[in-house]
Parts: sequence; structure tokens; C-alpha cells
Amino acid sequence: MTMLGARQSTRAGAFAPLRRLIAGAMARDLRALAVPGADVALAAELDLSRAGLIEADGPRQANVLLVMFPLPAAMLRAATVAYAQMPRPRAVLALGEGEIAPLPRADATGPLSQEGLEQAVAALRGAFTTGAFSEQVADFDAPLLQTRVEYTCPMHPEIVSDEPGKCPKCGMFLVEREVSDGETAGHEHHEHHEHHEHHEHHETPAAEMTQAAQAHHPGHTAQAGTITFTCPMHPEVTSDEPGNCPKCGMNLVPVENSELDTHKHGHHHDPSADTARYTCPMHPEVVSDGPGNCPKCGMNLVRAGGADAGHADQGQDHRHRHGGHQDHGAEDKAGWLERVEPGFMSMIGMTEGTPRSSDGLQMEWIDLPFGPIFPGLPGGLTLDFTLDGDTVAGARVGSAVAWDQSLPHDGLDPAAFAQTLGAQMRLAPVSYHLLACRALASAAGLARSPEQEKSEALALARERIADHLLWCAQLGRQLGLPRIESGSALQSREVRGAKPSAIVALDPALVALIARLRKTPFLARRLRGIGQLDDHCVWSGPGAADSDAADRLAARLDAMEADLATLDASGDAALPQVPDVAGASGSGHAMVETTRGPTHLNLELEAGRVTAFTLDTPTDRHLALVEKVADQAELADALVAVASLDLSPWEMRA
Amino acid sequence: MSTVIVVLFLLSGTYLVAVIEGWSATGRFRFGGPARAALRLLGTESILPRKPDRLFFEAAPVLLLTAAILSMAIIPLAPGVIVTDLATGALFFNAALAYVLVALIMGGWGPNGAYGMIGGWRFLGQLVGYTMLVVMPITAVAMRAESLSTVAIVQSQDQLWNILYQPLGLVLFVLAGMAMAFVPPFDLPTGAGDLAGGVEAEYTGVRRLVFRLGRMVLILSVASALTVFYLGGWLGPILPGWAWSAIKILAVTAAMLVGGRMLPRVREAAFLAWCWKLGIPLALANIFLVGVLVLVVPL
Repeated sequence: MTMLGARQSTRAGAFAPLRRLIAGAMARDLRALAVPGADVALAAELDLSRAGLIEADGPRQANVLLVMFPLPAAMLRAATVAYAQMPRPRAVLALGEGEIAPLPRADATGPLSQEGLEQAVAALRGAFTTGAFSEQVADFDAPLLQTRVEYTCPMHPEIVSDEPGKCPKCGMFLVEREVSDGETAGHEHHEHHEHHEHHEHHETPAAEMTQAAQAHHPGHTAQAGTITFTCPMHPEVTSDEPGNCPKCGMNLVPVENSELDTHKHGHHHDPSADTARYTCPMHPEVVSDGPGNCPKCGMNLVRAGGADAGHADQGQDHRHRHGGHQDHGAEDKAGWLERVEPGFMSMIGMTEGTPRSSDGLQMEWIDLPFGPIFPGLPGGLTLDFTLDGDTVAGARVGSAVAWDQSLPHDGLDPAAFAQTLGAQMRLAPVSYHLLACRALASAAGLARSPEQEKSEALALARERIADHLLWCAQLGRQLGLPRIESGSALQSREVRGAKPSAIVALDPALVALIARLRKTPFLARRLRGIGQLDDHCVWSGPGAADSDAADRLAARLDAMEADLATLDASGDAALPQVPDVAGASGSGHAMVETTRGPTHLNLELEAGRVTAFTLDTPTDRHLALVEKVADQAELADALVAVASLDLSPWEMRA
Repeated sequence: MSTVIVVLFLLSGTYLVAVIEGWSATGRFRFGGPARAALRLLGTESILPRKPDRLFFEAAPVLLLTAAILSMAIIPLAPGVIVTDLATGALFFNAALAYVLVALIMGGWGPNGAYGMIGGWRFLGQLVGYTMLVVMPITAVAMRAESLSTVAIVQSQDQLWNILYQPLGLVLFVLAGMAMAFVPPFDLPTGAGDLAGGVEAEYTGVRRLVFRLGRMVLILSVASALTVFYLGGWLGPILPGWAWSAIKILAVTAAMLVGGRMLPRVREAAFLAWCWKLGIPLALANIFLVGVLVLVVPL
């Protein structure tokens, strides 16, 4: 048997000795991609490496998809795309309870705990040993992943056909585009087929890699602008709404206008461009009324008049040509140069339509999604960067695990409300449970006993320490510091469930870890100047309003030390109890200090049921800062800057 | 015969480098780890991304491996145990490893993915930083040996190893060599935290195995060159020459891999700034100092 045979044989073939050896090796070398992320695994006190799983950097390197339920649909869709990305043989390990579709049936399941994980991994090992090259492997083909080709008119986007042909409105040839059946919204659905070497199989690249192919599609990038409508024949006719052209009655077509575009046009196209102008092919800023030589390079000036005529049409092309179009925009512009100087490659023509960087160079921009499953970011956070080279020119942030805050019509039982709130906030369940309890007590006018207050404060301080450590573990992962990562992860797990007396026993290790974080060479220097905020920013997390990432790390370490100091070994950190508010009505407010900043909850209680609430989370307040800290930063710096804001995707609104 | 020995050294050395690499990354010393990982990759399907640049995609891992193996050809492991004692050996080392850049850019471009592409171009920026710092310390080493032959370079250190004769050059060469082998903290093209694998992100199965193999041979090669240029190669008391070579090379590998994990991944701009504003003046000073020493102290 050949090696090639071994690889092929995910489909068929005998279970030969070498294959058994390989299957055995696979069973002992499991690389897991955690969904929604390693941070959630940590918050659930799971130790992946003790269970025998190695964390993978991306779906291509993974053979186990570790799904930690419950998850919202958007996250499951992202997980499905990631699963489709993983090379076979691959398996799904599901922890906790939840609806798994559109993912395939889990190969191993267990409760969301370390024992559950370890038992499930043992079951998975067995499955790999016996089934890695099984002949009974079903193809995985969720509707979400299927793409089909449809045809649309470049002028009339409403015309869509399954077959090539002509547009019934204008007679133009329809152009091809690829769409996904499961498509809803969000970036993880930009579809690609992949060719598996021995049989056709439709797959999509990983959630975070989905838009990779766009790297080479210049047209439809970057320009998040407004859409206006214009007449294909009369570019001077523009409207904010669809309709007909007052001059010729044709349907107006949508054009995407970005500020950049307008700016650029104003820049090097004279408004009165119908008159003849002469310009240098290399220096577009050189414009003259008559022929002559360029003062910069001495080349003959060429006639540039009237070259603007085709603009509206190019605008449409931006929107509709989704194929591998490298050349659009170039034809018209290059055309006149071709006539002047045959064979000349015009810089103007080649860079026409591409956006302009801050340094004035025109480059192709790419949209690159990070997350929701990305090693350097909190699981569930989606970050879409528009990259100009490797500089971030635009950033959009979202969440695949966002929370729909609507309540049932007749309100929610207080206990269920507190439970829901705590369960949604998977990184800080105790804080939010406590927040709900306090707000309920405030609404019902109940007093809280000092002992209760004390034990709650302990539980809160404990969770804050664990949460800070979780952030430090992520920092270690992001910056390639494995000792910081594993040390912080270990302490975070230990602290989260420990009694205050046990935390005091952990104290020396925590102090040592904090000292190590302070003393790691170049760490503060690496973070200095990144994610710089200013006094006008709304910032309520660790550090001052004008801090940078290094200041925020220092403030975080100080806060951890302060929390450690308040822990009283004699006290007991009890999980807050939902107050008995039977029949009570009123409105209440509560505030809890979390690692990310103060969180406020206002709620209305009517006859003992929660009928309305408003939640003001630090992540909501800090979302607007993402653009500020990422703008014009180098890619790695931008990711560090966003991480330093410590956004929790769980706190975002759907 | 010496070729056979070098090949055996290459096989066992690469495996040990992989073990040390796993140890530096996970903190656990698992001797069987690389073997299991290799078997797993052999059995995993090797996905061809959609719309790849097929030639670049396929060639990149092989080119990386080839370049790294080529550079091992001028490493003397013991007197007479060398594949080819080129008169321009020290230069050849640098020339062969110039293809690392080519391989990474091809590997980044090939899969038609943004992470890989950015990783590949990042390495180009990294090359602009480290390349002078590889060549200039080698110049000082060659000045002392009055030869570019690696055997002559080892022999020139008979009285005093270069680590003591030109410590400044050693520091620069270590850092530049680590950047060339893109080991942490210089792993910009493959950084897990910011590019999710970067150049390696789209490689699976056998192709990934070849890529990893090339990377390990590259680390071995840089460690071997460091041993030859600064640590006196096979020179040492009592033990035979090959044993000294092996001990030194493994120690250098462990120091590079474990030490590098103590530092955060460098910022690209900071790396370039350090290399050009600090590194190159220091390398020039090193050449000057060594020149004076060669004239004044006949050692």
C-alpha cells in the first residue's frame, strides 16, 4: 500500500497495517478547534491539554471541532463553515446541550465539564482508531455550504435567471455570479468550492478565511459608501431612490458612491473635463491646457479630455461583476492611451477605480474577516478589517454570539431572567447573575443583608480575577508567549471555582504570575503606543481614558492585586440567590463592576414578572473605539489594540 | 561516506529539532510527538484550495525544504565530514537560504488566501531587516579565517572561539538567523495570534508535512551555521569531533527556540528599525573591531 493510498482511503480500501498505524497516531494527536473559542473553554474551566487535545491555530490544522453548547445560530453557521474547512478525517466533539444542525451529528458528546471532556476525548480516540478510514463515511454537505451559479443583468440587478441568456429589459447578456443557498447575512458565507483531489466535494474555506479570495478582486472592496441611482445613459442624472430617468425613461441603476471616490474624482479630474486637457501618463497631477512635455519626467503630455464619460457605468460594474475581474475600469481609461501610445501600460488606467491610501498611493484594498473563530480574538467576536497593504483602513466589529434582548410578551419569571442573563454572558456569568439579583431586589424594594453583600463581593472579586487572567492568557496567545498563556490559563481555571480560602493558597502563584507579566522583556514596549485612546474617549475599562495597551495591561495587573488583597479567607463566596419578589411591582436599578467596566441594569417588575429591562454593558460603550484604535494601524497592532479593549461579544446586542 | 553521515545527521537532527520545538511550544518534552504528528499528516487529506496558483502552491514547501537542505551541504560536522568544502562556503550558506524568502512568498501567494499572502509579504519586509545582519557578521568571521571556506573558519578558531573573539557578531548573527528561520519571536509570516498560521494556514496533509520538515531543517541549518561560525564547530576536548558538533548544534537549537518563546512577537516596524538603526551600525563596528584585532592580536 502506498502513502497516497492511505490518504485517498478516507473513501475506500482495506484497513491495512500502515493505515492502522496512522489511525492510531491520529487518535493520539488530536488538534482541536474550539467553538466559539478557547476563552469560553477556559471560562467553563476546561483544560484542553490535560484532556489530550492540542489547540489548533485554524480549521486547516484541526481534526476535531470542539463545540461548546449552547450556541446561537450565527455561531453554528460559522462553525459549520469551519468544519467544512477541516481536512478529513475529522470529527465533532460536542459538550453541553444544544441543537447541533447544520453541523453533522457529533462523534462524541459529554457534559460541559472537564470529566465530560475527558470521557468524550477517550470516545473520540476510539472513533479515530477504528473509523478514521472507514468506508461508511458520509459526505458532509450542509445546504449552507452549497453554492449555485445564477445569472443576472449588469444593468438590472432585479433580473436573476438560472440559465445564461439575455436581459428581457435591455437585451444585454446576463453575467454569472455565485450565491449560497444558506446565505443570510454576515461574512462567513462568501462561498468557494474546493477541489478535493480524488472526488469533487464542495467546501468552503474557514470562517476566518472565507474572504481570502476577495484579495484578488479589486472592485468590490473597501468602499462602504452610500448607494445612489443614476441613468446608464445620462450620468448627470442622479437620485437617492430607484426610478426612471427623466430624460430617456430608462430604469435608474444603483451606484455605490464612497467618500473616497468622490474625493478622488475631485482630485484629479477637472469638473470641466469635456474640454481637452493634457496630462502626463505618469504624473496625473500634471495638467495642462495645451500639448507639451511633463515638467517632472519630460514625457509627452497626452490628451485626457472627455475621459470621464464612462464613470457611471464603471460604478455599476463594481456592483455586479463578481467574477475574477482584474481589469475593470481599465479598458476605457487605457483605451485613449492605447490610441496615443500603443502598448503603453498606463498607471492611471491600471489604478483607476482603486481606493487611495492615506499616503496618496492607489492600491487594491482587501476586506479580511477575523473571527468569529480566530486564535487571537475572543471567540464569537467578528472583526472585519479593510486592509490597505497590511495597514487597517477600516474596521467593523460584530458578534456571532450576540444576544437578542427581547422578552416574552408576558414577561419572564425572575429566576429564569437571572438564569438567562448569567448563561448568556459566558465569560462573566457570576457578575451578570448578581446584577440581575441586585436589580430584582431593588425593584421589589428588598434590603440585602450584610452577610449576603459580603459573600457576593467575594464571588465578584473572584470572578474578576479569573476574568483578568483569562484576558492575560489570550494576550499570551496573541503575542506568542506560551508560558504566559498556559500560566494564566491554569490560574484562571483554578481561581474561577475556588473557595476564597483556596485562592489565598493560590496567592503566591498569582503574585508570581503578575510579576512575570510585569517583567516579561519587551512586553510593555511591544504594547506601548498601541490602541492609544484620548481624553474624549468613553472608556470605563481598566486604565485611564488616555491609556494605551501597555497602560491598560498595567492597570489590569494592579486591579488584580487589589482584588486579591480584598479576598478574605474566612468568608465564603456564595453564588447570589435570586430574591423572592413574588407579586412585587416596581422598577429597579443595579450596577456591578466587571473587569470591562461598570455594568448597569434597569428593569421593570410587574406582579412578580420581569416585563422590561435595559442593559448598559461596557462592551456597548466601547464598541465605537474599535475604529479609532485600529485605524491606520499595522494589522498585528490593530489586533492587539482591539484585544486590549477587551470586548465581550456576548455582551453585544443582536 | 561523509555524505551518508551528513544525511543521517540531517534525519536525526531534524527529528530532535522537532522534539525541541514541541517542547518550547507546549512545555512538555514528548519524544514521540513529531512522529505522531507526521503520521497524522500523512493520513490527512491534502486539500487544494479553490483557484490556487498551482505551481506556487505545490512548489513552495519543496523549495523551502530544498533550500534548507542545500545550505547544510557546507556544514562540516567533523574533520573531513562535509558534503562539499566550497571555497565560498560561507557565502553559499547565505545564497542557498535566500530561497527561503522565495518559498514563503510563493507559499503565501499560491493558495489565493489573504492570510498567507500577508504572511509572505511580511517575510519580505523581515528579509530587508535581517539580510545584512546575516552577511556582515559572516564577513567579520571570514576576515579572521582569511577564507570563506567553512572548514577554514572552524580551524581559525583553534586557539579562541569566535564567541569570545567577536561576541558582538554572535549576538547579531543569532538574531538575524532566528529571523531568517522565522522562529519566535520573529515568526511574523506564520504568527498564530495575528494570522492564524499565515503562510502555513492553507497547507494540510502531506504538503504541510513537507513545509514543516523544511522549517525544521532550516532551524537545524541556522543552528549548525552558528556552531561553525562562532562555537568552533567540531573543536573540543576529549569527545570526538562529531559529538561536539552534535552537542553544540542541539544546545544552540534549544537556546534559540526556548529563548525566543520568552519574548513577545516583534512588531514588524520595530524589527526593521532595530535592524537598520542599531543592528547595521553595530555590525560595521564589529567588522572594524575584528579588523583591528586581526591586525594587532595574532590569535
